Amino acid sequence: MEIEVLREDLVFGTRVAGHAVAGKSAMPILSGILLRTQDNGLELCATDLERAIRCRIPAQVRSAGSAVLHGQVLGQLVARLPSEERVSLSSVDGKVRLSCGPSVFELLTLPVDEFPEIPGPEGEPICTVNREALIQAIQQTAFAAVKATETTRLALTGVNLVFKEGSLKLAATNGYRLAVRQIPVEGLPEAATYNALIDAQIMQDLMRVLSGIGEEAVRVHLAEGQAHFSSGPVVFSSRLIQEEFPDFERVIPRDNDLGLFLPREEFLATLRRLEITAAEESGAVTLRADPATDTLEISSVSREKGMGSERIRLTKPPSRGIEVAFKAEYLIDALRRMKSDQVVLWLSAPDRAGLLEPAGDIAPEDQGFLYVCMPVRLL
Amino acid sequence: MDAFYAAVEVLDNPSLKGKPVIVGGLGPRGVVATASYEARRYGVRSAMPMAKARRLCPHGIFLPPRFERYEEVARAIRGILYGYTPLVEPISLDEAFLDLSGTERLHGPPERVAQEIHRRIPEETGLSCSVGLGPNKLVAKIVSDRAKPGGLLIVTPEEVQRFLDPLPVDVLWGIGPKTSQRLAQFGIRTVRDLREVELELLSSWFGPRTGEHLWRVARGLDDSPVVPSREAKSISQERTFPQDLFDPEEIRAEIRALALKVAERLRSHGLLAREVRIKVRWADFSTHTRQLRLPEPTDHAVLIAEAALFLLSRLEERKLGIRLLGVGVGELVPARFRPLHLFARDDLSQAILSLRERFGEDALRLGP
Repeated sequence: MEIEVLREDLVFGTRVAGHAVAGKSAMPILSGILLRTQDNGLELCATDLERAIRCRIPAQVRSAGSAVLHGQVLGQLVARLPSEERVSLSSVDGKVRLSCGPSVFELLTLPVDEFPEIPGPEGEPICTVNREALIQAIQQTAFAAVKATETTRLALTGVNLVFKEGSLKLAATNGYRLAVRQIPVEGLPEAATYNALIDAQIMQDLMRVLSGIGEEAVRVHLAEGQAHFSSGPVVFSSRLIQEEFPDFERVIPRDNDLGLFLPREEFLATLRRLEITAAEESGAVTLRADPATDTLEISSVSREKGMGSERIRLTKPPSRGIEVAFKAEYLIDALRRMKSDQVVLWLSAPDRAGLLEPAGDIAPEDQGFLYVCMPVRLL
Repeated sequence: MDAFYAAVEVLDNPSLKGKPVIVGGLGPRGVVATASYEARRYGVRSAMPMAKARRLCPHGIFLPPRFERYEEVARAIRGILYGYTPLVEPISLDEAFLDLSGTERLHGPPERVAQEIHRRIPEETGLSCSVGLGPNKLVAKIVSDRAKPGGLLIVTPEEVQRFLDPLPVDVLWGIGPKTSQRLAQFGIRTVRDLREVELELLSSWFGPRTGEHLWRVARGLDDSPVVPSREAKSISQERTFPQDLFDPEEIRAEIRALALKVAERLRSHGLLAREVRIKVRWADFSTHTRQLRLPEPTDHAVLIAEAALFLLSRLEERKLGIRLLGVGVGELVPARFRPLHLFARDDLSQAILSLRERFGEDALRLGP
């Protein structure tokens, strides 16, 4: 292998592929990035067997070939290279010589033939999604999944992608709250339905990778237990979780009759203050709507820290009063990922799920977003 | 509870009623665990050597203790107590503190709760109990001891001093035989005597710490909190099988049954758990444990079973049979709150547990 690439292309490709390099693994080869020439380009590949990333950058190929370099070393090195325009890479005696202006490195390699085969997308994509919309949708849902340290049902560690009726719905839940965002897709036949479940952390990596590229469209492929997202020079592949995601549509309380309309930022700031004195263990704050004064009183009591309360003026008079407690963190999680000036919290009873939605002039980033949160019963 | 072990024996065998019943170790070095009030009339006391008890009360009924049965009855009693507050601090199998502050809205004033508990325990268990209500743990404990056997005594904050004054000093916490002997040398025999000694003098006799403690307890002052279920750092159920298990479906069914029992015990202790663990002992006695943390604390039978089954699925497969399975929970918190679940309804778990309570363990099992 003997090639020359632009330094900034190599920085980009290494950073993108770096998202799939295994941190600690029983298989040392997975800590590597595979470099292989392709026509007049270089492909950088990495995988931890759960996800795989391939990123193609332009290259002048003098002689074709491939090599696996240690991902962390390559990442650190290219980030600190002198600000020359070009970098050349060539295989020498089982090592890779990397030179950039005055600096020359001879990097040790890992055996190429041990690098796992990375399945790529084949045939036509099932649909195309706007990249920005997909990034927002992941950002507004993946957080709601069960944390990696709190694994229970494998299904709840994932983000459910439902391609249906010409749109894509992303949904994630930890069993106590549920985040859903619907975004439009192109090219999905009206009658076609696909369902995929992908680890929430992998989705967040996909989001980071997509944030770093300038393309407009992301093509989605689904095949044989794998999902592939390709956009411009990047193909991001993930294994699907082979479990059934719970029927989340069933638990969205669309019939809740009492709407509390609130200024989002004020609601968020108030919750962040009252979270400080939220009850230990439950983290609960109590919301009390008063139709006489059109206000929402939020209060919290902690045995160890004290108590606090604050009133917010509702932007629409509530139809009746209610008192209900929520874990402050769950409401904050959703509110801070929304952009609209107003939100509405639909309630029915103190032990029934609440539905949080954007309201008023809905920001484009919030179109199709909804959040379901179960209350905490205080005894 | 009054003469608890002996009372349970009488309950299970009514022909013992009115007879001196003594429960304890029957071997040559055994001691008395509990003596019925009839036996106490002969001078039999708990912790007394059994040989001496036999001498004092030769025609007594001497029985070995059946702790599992006592634990079962105690659980039913605790179940009644947890109906009023999660702040229940069991001191022993048959004795517990309850913090009734803040329960007025649900259950009415503490006086009424005390009366209700005093009425319900005999009604529902057939056993006699004594209830004492006081402004703090120190006073409540002394009040309930004075209420024995079978009484209900209420001492309001205004009455504390009048109630304590005539009692001997050794009813107070931290006053053992040695301290009370020294106090007696100074002519101090009753709580009132002690209350009339100035703090400086007490400190010069006993040092500043003990001095202050004596000064406070003489006034019925105590601010120690009711600590719910202090012994219960974790709860677990295990089962060793007569024959090693191989069938995966059978293994999962056992895990579910154990999880259900754990959920039952959480409910009866008024606790929620954040951590679930399993234990698997293979035929070669090698033992594996796995644990995980839940997003929210729970006592939900279905959620605990689900977590336990998930952990089981994470164990590497082996060709060996399984000789023991265990399901446990940790990171326990008092059930002062209940996070409601989107998919596992709370009333479902309660329904399962109450059906099992009414119709026995086989009435309802968790399916796959």
